This record gives sequence, structure tokens and C-alpha cells, in this order.
Amino acid sequence: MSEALVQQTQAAPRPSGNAAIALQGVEKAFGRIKVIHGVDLEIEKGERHAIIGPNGAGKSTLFHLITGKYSKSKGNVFVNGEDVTHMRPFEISRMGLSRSFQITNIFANMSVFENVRCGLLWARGYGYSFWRLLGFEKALNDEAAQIVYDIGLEARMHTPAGVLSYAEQRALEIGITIAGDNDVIMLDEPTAGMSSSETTQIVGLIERVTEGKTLVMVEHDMSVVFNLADRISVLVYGEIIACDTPEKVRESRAVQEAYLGAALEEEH
Amino acid sequence: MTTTSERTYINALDVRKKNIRFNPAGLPVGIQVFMFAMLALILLGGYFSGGELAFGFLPVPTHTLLSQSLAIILFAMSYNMLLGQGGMLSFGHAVYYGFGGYAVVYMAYFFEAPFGLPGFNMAPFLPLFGGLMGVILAVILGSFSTRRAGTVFAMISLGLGQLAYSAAAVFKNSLGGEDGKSFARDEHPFIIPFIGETDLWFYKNDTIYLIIAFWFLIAVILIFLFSRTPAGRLSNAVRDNEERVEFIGYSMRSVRYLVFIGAGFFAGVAGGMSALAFESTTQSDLSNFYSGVALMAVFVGGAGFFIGPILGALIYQFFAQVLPSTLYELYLGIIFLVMVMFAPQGVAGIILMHIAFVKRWRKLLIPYGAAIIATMVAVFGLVVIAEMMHHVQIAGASDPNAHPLDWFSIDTSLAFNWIWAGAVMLAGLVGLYLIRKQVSEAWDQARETGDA
Amino acid sequence: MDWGFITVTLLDGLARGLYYFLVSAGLTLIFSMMGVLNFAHASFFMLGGYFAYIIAQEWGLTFWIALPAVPLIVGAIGMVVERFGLRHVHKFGHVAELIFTFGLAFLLQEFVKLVFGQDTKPYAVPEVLQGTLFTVGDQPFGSYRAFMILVSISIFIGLYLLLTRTRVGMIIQAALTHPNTVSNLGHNVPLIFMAVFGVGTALAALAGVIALPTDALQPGSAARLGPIIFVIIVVGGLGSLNGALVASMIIGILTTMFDASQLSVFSVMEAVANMLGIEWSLLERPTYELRRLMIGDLIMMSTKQVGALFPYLLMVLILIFRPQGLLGKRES
Repeated sequence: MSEALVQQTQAAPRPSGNAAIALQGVEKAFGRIKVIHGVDLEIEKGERHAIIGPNGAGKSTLFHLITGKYSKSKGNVFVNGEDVTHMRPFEISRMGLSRSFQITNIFANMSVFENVRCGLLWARGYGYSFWRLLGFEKALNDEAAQIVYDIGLEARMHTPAGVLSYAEQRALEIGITIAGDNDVIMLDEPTAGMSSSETTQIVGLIERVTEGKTLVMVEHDMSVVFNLADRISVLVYGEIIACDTPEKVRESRAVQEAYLGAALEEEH
Repeated sequence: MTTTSERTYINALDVRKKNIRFNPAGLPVGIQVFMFAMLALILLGGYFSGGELAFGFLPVPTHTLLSQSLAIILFAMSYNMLLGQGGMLSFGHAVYYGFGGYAVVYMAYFFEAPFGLPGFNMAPFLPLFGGLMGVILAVILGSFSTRRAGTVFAMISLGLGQLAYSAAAVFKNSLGGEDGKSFARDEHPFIIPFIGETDLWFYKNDTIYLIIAFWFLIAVILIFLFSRTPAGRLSNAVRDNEERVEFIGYSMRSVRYLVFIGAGFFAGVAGGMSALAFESTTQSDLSNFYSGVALMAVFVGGAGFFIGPILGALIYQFFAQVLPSTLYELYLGIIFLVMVMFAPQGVAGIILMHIAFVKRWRKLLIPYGAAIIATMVAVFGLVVIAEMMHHVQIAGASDPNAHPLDWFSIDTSLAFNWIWAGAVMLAGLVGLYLIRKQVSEAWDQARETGDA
Repeated sequence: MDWGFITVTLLDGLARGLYYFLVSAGLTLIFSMMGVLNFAHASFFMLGGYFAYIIAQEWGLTFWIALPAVPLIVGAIGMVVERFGLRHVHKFGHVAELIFTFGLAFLLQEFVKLVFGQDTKPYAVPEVLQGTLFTVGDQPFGSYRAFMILVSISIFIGLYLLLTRTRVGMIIQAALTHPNTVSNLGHNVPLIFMAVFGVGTALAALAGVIALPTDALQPGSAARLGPIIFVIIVVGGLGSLNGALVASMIIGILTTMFDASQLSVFSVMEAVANMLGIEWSLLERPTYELRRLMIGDLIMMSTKQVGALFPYLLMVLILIFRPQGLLGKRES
């Protein structure tokens, strides 16, 4: 990148008390290949934040780093003020962070209802118990059913998740993610592969179910991003080159160059 | 006008009723209770007519054979907890079975008046000690072997199974080496705790059957209920998608460990039952072969289905005990391999798949009928040839007449016999090959209908 | 210290470790490339032995014909198994593949039992290789063992050259980690898979041929060798050829030494106590009561029995203290 672009990069923020997610100097290298170069990011509680960037920029990797799937080569990650840098995914998940996956990641042999109910188990205190029969847990079942209604899959309540259509599976994916008391929701390309009508439905669903919660979204669909997000981070080659409101990001030269690429530079 | 949230809540009220009725087996609670009651009745019937003819014509196996069958069924069900429910493939499950047996043999030495309680003896509780041993072992071994799943776990279980098997040979005095350890069921009356003495005697096979059948029923109910608990559901989740489980707040390792311990418990109980019935436990109860039996029974019966392991264990027993052939392992191996390749859902899965299709049986009649006939022809030819080969191995020189399945006599020295048997087998296989397209079409149709 | 004994036993162990490596290398290749852990791999070892027995003994052609012919035959069988069996279950996942190969192993054992019978087939070392090559101290080192070492090492050199110096080898190496890319470049990846499976099984069969005079040939051979091979690759680290080599050497050499020595744990304890000049009441032969407990059995255990247990104990230790194996990478 040219010198001019480097100067436009945001200065590293300090972690504030109101941050749902905070990354400080996070780096990730696979062997000798550095994929994430020193990312600093703060996402406020209740904020709707989108992460965009060209393919291969490292967006999914960033998600994996936050949720504990990948270890960090350097730097720290904070969720709701706690240092989760060395925690395992299930520990981070218990702190209220939940994520969906780019490739649909559901429990294929269980019904839609049971998928969602599984998402609720820990939050509702069932732990690893083998002495309580789920069939008789009225409150739990009601809540799970409610979520299935919320995501619009009531017609497929007891269908095995594996036979659902793609869009239905994505909706279920979101349903599992929001189950429980998770207040930080991370969605990895929720509208991937959808038609525009399906996209509208999913976005409506996302807006509805993430009300009052912190939402972090990786997306490629710009209309979704600009409609939904309070702030946008632009990730290019493992670095955040812009982190601001949608209008400012749209106008940023650095972002334009990153997306339009070297073609612009060659023309000059 | 109702708001979105109100509408959702009202609909949820309707759903509430459906929830309780729709449990995973798809059957209402009343029917489940009824089925377990039927099971209890069947088991009781076994007690009264073991070794005789039920209703005057149905030959019932002896009490000892019934006891052994129950032990094997429970062993297979415990294995299903691991494989079918938890998705963990183990090649060393017999370790818990064998050591459960050893535990019972040892405890049987002490079955009179433990802890000085009057009117109380250990006899009815012996299988539980097998379970206890199973738990202890599973806690120890599972602590490092459940860290990884899939292939690595399978290899570890194989190594541990082999370790236990070799160790049994080494510990000649404590574990009896290759011959194992045994005890004698003495002439003690069977005392039901807190009720008093009965007319039943500990050394009699039918009394032992009663004890075994009782614990079998309890174990089966517990295993059934386990799959409906959070832990049971989570084990299914880990089987389906272990990564996702972490993101709903559960450590996949802990879930696997828990299921492992549960499976070890029931395997130990099964081993204890076997030791009680046969008055001994030997090294072969620990063997990799026996672990393989569990795998085959569960897979052929249908992994993941509740009745799968029951069917599979019964099929195994049929081949091992009923079929008059020493080649039953070969036949089982062929069936197993064929099912792995063409019907991995097992017998239970096949049945379930075709339930919806039963109405359209006419469509199935020709392709399935032809396939069944072709298979029977091929099997006949195969069995004749295999039995003849085996006979030649064993006693070919002295007596040329082989007796395939004790059915008829055939002279192995005549080349003609070999030729026609081979031709029959080939004919059956060719028939199967010709009809395969229609069969697979019908099969796919059935599967799609079954899924919907 | 009988240096002759130690040296010769070490060399014998080397021969054993090398043919263990022949088998485990094939298994590792197949696993790295296709993700399949071939449970039936030791069965191909056994088949190699039986085919060699037929060709060399029953048909009267010599060992020298069997040596090149058997790996080719069994390799061909392996390719058929891959093409018509493994490929079919591949779509059901790795666990299904493992179950399939397990069933195959079981069936092969039963089949061999049916065709050849349960008894152990005797096979003598080929005449030209009988006798001792040299002696260390007064311990003789057999020529045949030297031959085993020679064959194994030549095969490895050949394989190494093939993989690193030829074009085919490059393609195979690439397909080991990036089968999709290689396929997109126009290479026939299924064919490569079939070839690699064939080569892997051929290696196992070759090991079966050269081990034939030293190992008892019976239907249980595969069931005896199989678990050891799997322990080797777990200890060495799944997917690591170097790890398999190291583990094969350790297990091969140590088990040979345990087998050869006439000691028991008790006598070792005795020797150690004597060395340290300790008078120990336990030196008296354990009383009956002590024997009844496991401790007694443990003490009286001969080193040969330790040799049987040793690989599995090693595996348990590795799993507790270094789960990825000695030289293992993280499982993909």
C-alpha cells in the first residue's frame, strides 16, 4: 500500500469500559505466513458492526480469533471487559458470545426444534445433567418453540435439520446463535448465497432478534451492510484500513482503492 | 391487531401441547411405557419356560443361553451409546465388559452377609459391581483417551484393549491368565433384601436368569431415558457437529467423557451378568474379537437406533448359537462388509426407511423380490462351497462327506459337486448384478419417501 | 555385560523395526493422502506371507520369485479394494471408511482361515541365506537378518528417490496435502489414490514376505501385528513418516531385546538391589499370598511378557504426556 493510505489508517484505540468486544494488537500467523497484522478494534455494547473486505482479507480468520478457535500469535482479545485471549471456545461462548458460521454448521440429524433447544441448554442451567428428562421441561420447550417461531421455521419444527433448504438452514443457524442469553452475536456471512427476497427476509429476522444486543457481522452484500450497520470496519490483507460510520467509509479513498485495487493506481 | 410478539406467544401456546407429545422416538409416552411393560412380560415368560416349549410349540432357549443373550444385548446397547449416540468408534469396548466380569467373580466370593447385615446377601446386586468396575476403569482410561475423537480415539481404544488383553495373560494369579477366574454358585437361597428368603436357589440357572433379566430391564430403561436427557442430547450433537457444540457453551471433550463413562458402566454390568451366568470370566472376554462383536452387532442392527443393537445382538446370537456351522464368523463378516458398503443404516434403518413405503408395496415387489431370490441363491451356493472347503480342511482325508448347516450330505471328493455349487453361487451373483439398477431405484425412492 | 548379546540383539531389533516401518510407512502414506486409516493394512502383510508361502513352497518356485511377485500381486489386490470398496464408502466419511477396513480385516482373516486352515505354516529361511554372517563375542548374527535389513533400506532409498526426484513423486507429494488443487491441474487424483493405496499395500506385503521365515504364519498374524502398527503411528505422530520411523525403531528394537533376554522383573530388581548392595527381604521368592495379588504377578513377569505389553504402555504414556506423538503435527 502507498504511503498516503497508511496515513489514513486509524490510530490504535484504547479499550474502553463499554466495549463488548475489544481487540488489541491481534496478530495471527500460520507458519511463516502472517494473515492478520496487528488489528485494533473496539465494538461498543449494543452496536451493530459490520466487517467488510475483499476475499481473503482474513474476515473469517478474525472471527475464529475472537471466538477462540484459533490461537493468537500476538495481542489480546476482550469480551465484555474480560480477557479471553487464552480461553477455549466453549468458555468464551459461556460468557455470552455466540457465532454463526459461513458454512452452515447445524446438527443435521436432529430436528429444527431440538437444534434450537440445544442452543438453550447451557444458558438455562441444564449443564451436563443426565437425570432430567427434557420432554418434561415445559419452560425450556416453550422458549425453544418461541425461537423457532421467531425465525419463521414453525412449519418445519420437527423436520431433521439436514433436509431443510439452504435458506432455512441459514435461518436455523441464526436461531441457534441467538438462543440463550447471548448478548454478543457474531454472524459470518448470513446472507451468503441467497436471492434478494431471501436476503430481505433474513435481514428482517436479524434486525428483530438482535434488538438490544451487540451484533458483529461479516458481509459481502453492501446494501445489507449499509442499511444495518452503525459502524463498518474494512479489513484488507489482515489490516483494518478504516473503521467508521457507513457514510464516511463510503467516501474514504483508502477503501475505494482497496476495492477497486491497483487498476486505479495504474491509470495515474 | 395482535403484535408480532403476541402472535408468536399465542402460537407457542398451541405448540406447547405438541411439544410434550413429540419426543424423539415419535411415540407418545403411553406407548413407550406399554412397550417396556411388554418387554418385562417377555422376560418373565423366559423365566417360566426357559428350555421348554412355550405355548406348547415354541422352543425357548435354555436359561443360561437366555442369560448370555441378555448380556450380549446389553453389551451391544452400551456400545451403541458410544457409537450410535456419541459418534465415537471404539475397538476396545470389551475391556469394560471383561473387567466387569472379573469384578463380579471376585465379589462373588464375598456374597454372603456383607457388612454383617442379617438376612441380606450380595447375590442380587452382583451385576452392579460389574458396572462399578466399568465406571472406575472408564474414568481412568477415558481421562486421556477421549481428548480426540474419530480415528485417533479408535486407535487409542484398540491399543488399550490390546493392553488389557495382554495384561490378563500376564497376571496369572490375580486375573487367572488365559483360563480366567471362576467361582461356584453355592447352595444358598436367594434372599430378596428386606423381604426375606425365597424358595429360589442361587445355584439354579433360572434364579440367575431372573436376577439378570431384572437388571437388564432396568438398564434398558435407563439407557432409553438417557438419550432424552441433556447429556444424551448433547452426545447426539457432538456426533453431528462437535465443533458447533463448543459454540453453544459445552466442552465437546466433557460430553464425550461423560458418554464414555456411561457406556463403560453398562458394559461392566453386561460383563457382570455374563460372569454370573457362566460362573467365570476368561481372557477372551477382553479380546479385540469381542470388541469387534459389539461393533458388528450395533452396525448391522443399526447404529443410533434404540432397537438397532438389540436386533444386531440377536442376529449375532442366531449365527453364533443357533446356526449349526463353525463358519459363522465368516458369514457374519460377509454380512457386515456388505452392509457397510450398501446399507450403513443397518437393519433398523432399513425397516424404518420402508415403513412409509409399505402402502406402495406393489412397486417394491418385483425388484426386491428378485433381489431376495438372487441373494438366497447366491448365499446357498456360497455356503455349500464354504462348508465344503472347511470340511476338507478339517476332515477331508477320513470322511469326504460334508454337511453344510447339517442340512444334507455332499461328497467333497467329487469335482462335480464343487462345480455346480460354484455355478449356483455365480448365478445368484449374476442375477443380483442384473437387477441392481431396479433395486437401487426402488431403494432411493423408499429413502426419499422415508425422509419426508 | 555381554556386548555380543547386546549388539546382535540390537541388530535383530533393527531388522524387525525396519519391516515394522515398511508396514507403517505404507499406512502413513495412505493416511496422509486419503485420510483413511487402513485397519486392514496388517492383513495385507499377512496376505503377503501366505502368497509367498504358496508361490515359494507349494508351487515350488523359489523365494526369489516370490519376493518381487508377491508385492505386485497384493498391490494389485489393494488397488481393486480401493477402487471398488473404499471409494464407495468414502462418501460416508472417515469413520465409515475405518469401519469398512475393519470389516475387511476381519473377513480376510476368516477367508484365510477357510482356505489355509488355522495351523501355522512352516517356512524355512532360503538356503543361500541360512547361517551366520558374523559373530560378535560368541553371539551369531544371522545372514537372513542382514538380508532383511538390506532389502528394507534399499526400498526406502528407492521410495525416497521416487518421491523427491521424479515428476510422479512430486505430484504425489502435492496430492498428499492439496488433492483438489492437483485435480484442478488436470492430474487424475482418483488414479493417484488407487496407485498410492496399491503401493502402500505392496509395501506391507513385501514386509510379510521378508518376515515370513522369522514370524509364525497363521490367520492370526494380522491381528497380532495390526495393533502394534497402530501404536507405532500413534506414538510417532499420525501422518509423520519420520515419526513412524523413529517409533518403529524404538518398538522393534526394545521388544526384540525384551523377547531375547531371559530375565524377569524380579531378577532385574534383584540385580539392581545387589548392585546397590541392599539386603532386601523381598528378594526371597514372593510368598503365595503376595503372588495372589497383582504385585506378585507383576514381579514375576518375564521380560518377554513385558515385551508384549511394552508398546501399549508406551502408547499410553505418549498419549498422556505428548498427545500429538513424538514427531506429530496437529491433526488436520
